[in-house]
Amino acid sequence: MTGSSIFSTRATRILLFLVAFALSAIGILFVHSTMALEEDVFPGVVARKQIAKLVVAIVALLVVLRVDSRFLERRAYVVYGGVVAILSVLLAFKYLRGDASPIRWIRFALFDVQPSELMKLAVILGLARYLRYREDQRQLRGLALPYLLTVVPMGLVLLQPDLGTSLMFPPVLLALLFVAGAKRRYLAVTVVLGIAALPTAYFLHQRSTVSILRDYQMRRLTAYFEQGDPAVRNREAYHLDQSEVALGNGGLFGRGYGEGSQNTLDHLPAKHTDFIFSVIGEEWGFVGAVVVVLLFLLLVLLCLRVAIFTKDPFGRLVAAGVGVVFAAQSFQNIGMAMGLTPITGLPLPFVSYGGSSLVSSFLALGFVLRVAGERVTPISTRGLSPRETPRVVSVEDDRPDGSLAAQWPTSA
Amino acid sequence: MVRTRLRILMLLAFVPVIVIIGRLWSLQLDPDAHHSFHIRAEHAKLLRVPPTRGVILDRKGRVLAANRPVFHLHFVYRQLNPRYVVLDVVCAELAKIGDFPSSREVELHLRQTYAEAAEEAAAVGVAVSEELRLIEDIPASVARRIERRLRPRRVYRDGYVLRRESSSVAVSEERFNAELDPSEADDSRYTLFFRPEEVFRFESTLERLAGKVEHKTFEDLDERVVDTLAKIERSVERYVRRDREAGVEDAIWRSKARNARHNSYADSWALVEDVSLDVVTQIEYHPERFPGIEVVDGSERYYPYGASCGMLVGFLGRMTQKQIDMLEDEGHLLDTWTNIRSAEAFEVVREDSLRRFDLVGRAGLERFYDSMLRGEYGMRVVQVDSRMRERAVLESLPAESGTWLRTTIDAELQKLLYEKIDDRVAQLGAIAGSIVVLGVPSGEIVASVGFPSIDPNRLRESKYHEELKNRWSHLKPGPWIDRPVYHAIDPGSVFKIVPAVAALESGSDWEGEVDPLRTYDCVSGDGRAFRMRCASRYGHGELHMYDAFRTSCNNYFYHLSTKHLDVARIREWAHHFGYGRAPGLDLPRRGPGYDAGRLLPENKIAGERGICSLAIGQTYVLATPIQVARSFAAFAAGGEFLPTPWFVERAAPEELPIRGERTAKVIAESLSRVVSEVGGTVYGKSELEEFSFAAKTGSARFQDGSSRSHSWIAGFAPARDPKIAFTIVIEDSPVGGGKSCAPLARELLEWFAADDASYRADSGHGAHGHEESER
Repeated sequence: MTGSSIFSTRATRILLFLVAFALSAIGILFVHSTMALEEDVFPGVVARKQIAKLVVAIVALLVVLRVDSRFLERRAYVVYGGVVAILSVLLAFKYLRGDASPIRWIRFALFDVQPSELMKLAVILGLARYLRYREDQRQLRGLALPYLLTVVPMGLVLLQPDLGTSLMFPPVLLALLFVAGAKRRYLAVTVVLGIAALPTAYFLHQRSTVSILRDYQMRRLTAYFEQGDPAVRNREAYHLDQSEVALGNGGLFGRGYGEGSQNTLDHLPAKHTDFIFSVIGEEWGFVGAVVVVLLFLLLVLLCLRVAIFTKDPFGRLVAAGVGVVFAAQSFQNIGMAMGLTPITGLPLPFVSYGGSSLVSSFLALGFVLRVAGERVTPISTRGLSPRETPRVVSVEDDRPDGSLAAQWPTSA
Repeated sequence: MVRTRLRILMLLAFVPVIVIIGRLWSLQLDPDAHHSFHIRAEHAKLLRVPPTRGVILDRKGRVLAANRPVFHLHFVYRQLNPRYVVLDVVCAELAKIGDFPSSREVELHLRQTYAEAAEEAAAVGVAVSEELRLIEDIPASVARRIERRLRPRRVYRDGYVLRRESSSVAVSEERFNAELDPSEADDSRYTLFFRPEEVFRFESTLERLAGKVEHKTFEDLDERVVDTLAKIERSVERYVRRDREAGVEDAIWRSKARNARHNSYADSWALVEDVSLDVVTQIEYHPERFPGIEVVDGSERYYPYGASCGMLVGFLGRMTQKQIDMLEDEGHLLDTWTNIRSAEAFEVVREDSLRRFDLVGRAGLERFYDSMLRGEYGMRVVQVDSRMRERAVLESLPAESGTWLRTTIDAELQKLLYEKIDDRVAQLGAIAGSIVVLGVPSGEIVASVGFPSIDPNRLRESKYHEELKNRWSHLKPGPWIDRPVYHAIDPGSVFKIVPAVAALESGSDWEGEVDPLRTYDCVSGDGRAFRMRCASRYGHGELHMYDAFRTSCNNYFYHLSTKHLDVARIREWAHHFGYGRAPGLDLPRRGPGYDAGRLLPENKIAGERGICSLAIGQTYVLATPIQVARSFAAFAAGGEFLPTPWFVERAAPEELPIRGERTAKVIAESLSRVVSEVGGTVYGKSELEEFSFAAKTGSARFQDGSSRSHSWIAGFAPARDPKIAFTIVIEDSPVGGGKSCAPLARELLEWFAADDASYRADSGHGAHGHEESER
């Protein structure tokens, strides 16, 4: 560890976990507030479900912490390929059946899984694996494969259709390329081209007979540009309108827990999932909302900090990717609650009701914690066969007793 | 370099945070924004609570107009006829494998199947079989899907059964695991049966209801339901039309239409209006026998005395657009105040305020006292959730009921007189009539009957309107006018008291002064350039004022007015007695030609002929029965003042410029001789001499060349110390005043004499012992 770090690695890990746990706790609190019947005491039926899901998510996190990141690194493509395959099969099934209803869930006996949530993580792993030692992303042609790695799953998710999640892929790609050292020029051109492509895509979509986006999704997107129109506010931007009323009703300190009228009178749609932030803003006011926003900022900064201080290139990219996904997803969710971004269905990580989101968020957190917990040590050539070129750095388990550190003095 | 880039990312992470906090700031911390959002977040809804309209009573506390609860029956189609759910699902599933008729067609088929089966069964004399075939040849896969979708619904389990063809086993009894067991023969076919007695719950409910509700057959009720369904279908069609035109996917607008339709099926729609309490009790006692039928209560204005007080009490109706606009301009239209949230503000706004579709008094007392009767709106501000259900009451202000009015009318007398006029008019072959009875000296109106009138209870029936139109087509004005108050006609001889008083009070000398005992010669012709008719073809000879009244001699009054008076003085005295101006009573004003009657200006009454016509109440003067009654009430009250008639609020009488008692005494004596002396125009008619009263008859010609006349009797009773003044009119009567109206006068006096002996002629001066009539 470098001396410039403010926190020790251990403190960082604990803090990361605490931030995530705090967000989840707030989530459970407000899931109860939104879903509880009048006579329900905390935790009500729905809140208990969410608590159970949180337990499952933390177990998943503990499992990930047991997994060697080397192992993950080696199996990154397998994970990636597997999730892409699941998505493709689902889509194929959907089109073969000729049914227009969205497929976002795989139903298991006890719980449902949203494969698109896993896809986010798989893309981070895949990109990180691909980019970890590469230098050729500094050339234009080196960018081709990372783009492909991102666009294919993005397309699959979009076809589900799950617009919100698919929008999370471009920021991850850009951020990882940026971190991996791609030329800023190329990135800038990509961003500009991407933005320029939007109107084109819009017109193509209007013309084409195959509709990728459903009607309501399209209308909600276009409604973003017509927020001021009262008629639009009554129809397509109804969610936004009610959400802004909820936030505005909150004021500085809020209406009080369980007292927000937008919440209790059911005027806010999807209030326990996509619009839970508006409920927080209504019941805890500006103060509560800012606390949540700052918690997310802290979460993202800590992830990036892990990325900065880790010596493992794969781990660095994973941590950065997870940080960017958290940032993008929370900004998209919070932004849509206040009209900053178009309305797409997307849960707020850790906070919104729903198992898939919670588990995938904790899985992602697990990767970062794992990366943060791995110690950089010089490697001895002892035990290596002569054919293998020793690596410059390697990663060993950070043993609790520090025995390894004592045996092998660090270079720092 | 990597770390630098990561640090740049860290810095970038602050950008969205700053943007979000900025936006939160403007939404939550800007006081104006916060305030307006807070108001919107309350989801307060203003409900206006209509007040109860005041009751109108007669002098004895009998109800003339009140509110009564009415009950309507509504139906909820989803509960009344749940089979559409089954048919919808079945048709939707079958439509997936090919063209299949819509659920409406299947419904029709279902009815036909049942009807045929019922016919056949009736012909053979057996009961309809328990299960009837509806759809045959259903593939196994579809049968399974139908079964899976509908099994949870009771309406399906009870009413329908799917059977494999050539097997009697119902599908529900098989183990259904199509997906898990594809090996099961897929070529088996199924038939959907229905059980009539369950499926036709809708029909049986309506049958049962038709047996209970008067005047409604099953067909009526069924038609109402079918009409309502058609209405729902039209509104659904309108609802999705835009989507269809915009080319929205079929599946989407179809599901929208289905949802809209099903929502409407869950609403309650009117089935029968105004059912009796008996029906309501039966339905509420056995709701299980009437599934989907709801009782909805409301309130309706009710007039126990019907037509006899019809146009007098009046009726309610919607405001005209002009009235609504006026209210809106004045800020008295409550519909415009939608944003009021506090009781204090509402209390200010509600004064004299109405809603657009409120019922207001459109005629008679209901109209004149409308602002008192209607009361003030109350309000509730409630918090509603997203489904518009009330969750909490934030503010409330109770409605203020309208004032109860106690009128001077005697409803029973009113009713009696109405019936008697009806009879008398029919006997005479006349068409209309009025009676007014004023209390003396107060001027209170004890009865004010106009025939024909309308029955305000029946105004909702279109049949009634047609009936009125057909029956009274020849009558102008028709029944929609309160005849005693608004129908001004020629008064004829009852007007003669005016020239008599004018002459006695301000007659100028002509060969000596005016004296009631001075005689004039009644000779037809009498050397004038024109011939004047008199009641007696050959003239009455020499006669004085008493005789002139008694015989109703026109020529006497020609003498009086041409020799001693002029038009100006007659008009002046007519005016004193209330002719040509509104009587000042508490009913809406309608102006000259109506309640004000008509007294033509001086320059229109030219020459001797004019003044003669005026003197006998022809051509130049029109008066309403109430105006005439009022002028007689003045003499009944001693001639010092002119009582002002009233119903609810006592009105001050007017001073009369009569000097001394002579004039009043002469007139009173003259009028009593009409009744009590041989040759009087009332004497001997309908044995009226047994009553003590004074009167004057009149037969006013209103059409040239016709012998028909408006017949009058006006007078007061008892003759000494009068308590009432009255006017009886038969319009367009073939016989003169005395003959036409005497039977009615008898009825009237009988009524009062029943309780008060002073109305009897033989009671002498005993009248002093009684105060006022008890009835």
